[in-house]
Amino acid sequence: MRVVIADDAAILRAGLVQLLEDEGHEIVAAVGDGEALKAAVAAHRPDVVIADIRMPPTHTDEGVRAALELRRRDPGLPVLLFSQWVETDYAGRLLAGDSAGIGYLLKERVLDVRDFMDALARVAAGGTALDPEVVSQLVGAGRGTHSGVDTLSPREREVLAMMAEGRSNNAIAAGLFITDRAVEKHVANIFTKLSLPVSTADHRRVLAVLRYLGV
Amino acid sequence: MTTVVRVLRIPFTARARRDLLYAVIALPLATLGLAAALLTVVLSLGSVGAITLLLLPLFMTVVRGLGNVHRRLIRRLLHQRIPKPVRPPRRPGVLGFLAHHLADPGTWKALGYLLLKFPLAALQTYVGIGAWIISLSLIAYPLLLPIEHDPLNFGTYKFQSVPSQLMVIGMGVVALLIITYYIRVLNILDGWLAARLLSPGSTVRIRELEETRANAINEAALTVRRIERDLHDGVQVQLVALGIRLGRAERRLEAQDPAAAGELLRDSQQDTKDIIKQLRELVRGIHPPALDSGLGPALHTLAARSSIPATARVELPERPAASVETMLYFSAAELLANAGKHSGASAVSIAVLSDGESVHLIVTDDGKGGATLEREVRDRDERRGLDGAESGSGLRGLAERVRTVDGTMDVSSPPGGPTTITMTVPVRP
Repeated sequence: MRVVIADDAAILRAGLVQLLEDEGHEIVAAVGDGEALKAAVAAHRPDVVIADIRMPPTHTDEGVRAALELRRRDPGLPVLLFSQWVETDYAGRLLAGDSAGIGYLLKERVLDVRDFMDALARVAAGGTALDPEVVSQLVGAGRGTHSGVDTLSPREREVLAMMAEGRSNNAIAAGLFITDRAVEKHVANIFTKLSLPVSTADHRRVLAVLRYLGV
Repeated sequence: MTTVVRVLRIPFTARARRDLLYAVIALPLATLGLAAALLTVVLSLGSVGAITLLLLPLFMTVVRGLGNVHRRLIRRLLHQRIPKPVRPPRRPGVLGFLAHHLADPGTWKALGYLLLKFPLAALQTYVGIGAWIISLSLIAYPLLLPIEHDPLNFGTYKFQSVPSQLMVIGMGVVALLIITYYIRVLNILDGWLAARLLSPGSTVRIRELEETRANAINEAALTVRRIERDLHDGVQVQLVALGIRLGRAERRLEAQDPAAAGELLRDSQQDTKDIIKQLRELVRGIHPPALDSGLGPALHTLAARSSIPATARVELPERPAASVETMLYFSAAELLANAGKHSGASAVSIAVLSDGESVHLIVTDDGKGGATLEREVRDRDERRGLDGAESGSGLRGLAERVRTVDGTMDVSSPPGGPTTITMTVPVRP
């Protein structure tokens, strides 16, 4: 994949570049702030963007703002955002629009290279990758108590939480030590209980997650 | 019997001796004080001309100085601690100079003290010491009698017989006791007066505390912000980078490439060392471990690590309060860094001395001089523009910071150097 990386810490940027190159990706640009990121994306049209949230000049939410603007110009552009900590407000803003192709991970998730590569591939393919921390905070922030989520069984909630992290049915089955079939059953129940319209499975998945997160 | 001895000893206890000494000094000092105070009053009542404006600051300085002398005497001899009013830093220009000297409420109150002190001192010295000497001579009466031509008499009665001589001695002893308490009461009154007039008044003090508290809170917030930045942009980033490298090593091992993995692991080891080093620097910036064993070791370490040759001399009879130590350490560190950045100095000396009441930090460099509180303000503003977070640094920031522990800062930095910056902080805040 052709990747653009934005992180103001040169040492981290270099590490990410090397890691992704090791994994066979092509880094078309590695930049240090939001403005440079927008320019690089316009110039290179990458398959996926990886960006730090906190970058100069204000060191607050440059990454989020750049991502939203990029996706306004180019809907569906896959963006994987990194942060040192979870900010529910940022996550809410990111997911408020079209949540397809959005990732929000804590920086240390990069350390599990395989999981990180999975998440990157998922985001690039139009899926979501939310850090478990993000999910638990969004749910803990009092969201997701409406719209039928409270009618779910504990097991269904667990499944939904993992869906929110962006995991596939296989991964959920492995994580909860249940069979694929059991997961499929739970997912179907969730769709029914949340009365989601019948459409493609992927779309319903995303809707269920959004309902769950309350965004 | 022991009670009698104890009573007889009252006029000669350490406290009585100190009271007496204080009473002896009172009048000469008060005469000086009265002269300075009256001249100041006359000058300020007269027409405001060039001479007034030139002389008044001088006299006000003398008044303040005499106030300080009294404050010290009262602390030494009467063992009463009177906090020193802290004056706000001087503003630039002629008006700033005048306001600094003439509009300082502490000085005017000190002037009031000097005016009231004179009659009090007359009672302390003339009456007190006079009566004390008379009492003593009554006690020594049998010895003095042969020298005197005429014995003491009361009407026609002459105190000449042995019993009557003993009576005179007895009167002397009683008089000495009374005088001792007379002097003590006057001194207590003096102390009470000084506590009202030589200390920062409550309104002034409250304003002072409000200001310094606000500064301290800002300072603390900035420090926390700086530490957060250092951790976030420094150590945490390096740790993630280290993690990435380790992740890559793991992937290389999975791909059966032990040579590449080994190299990545060696790099990771180096990363780890760098991170440990950086953490150590960071901790030093929060609280230098050497400070636990006192200002001496901490400042010697600081001087040894300085980029320009620096020496440190610390002579303290006892360790000051921890807050004072920390404050002085970081001030010294900042002054040293300033000297390195701005002055072009080739040598810096740091000295910490104590006079029992205050600790003095004196930092001298042989650089080009010209450091003022004001230039530093501009410096700071420029830095703030660049960085957004740096603030409260520079000499002005230091001057503000030292006020939070009731200290003062003086800058002497003529063009061409040398620069000497003196910070004075009470031993116990």
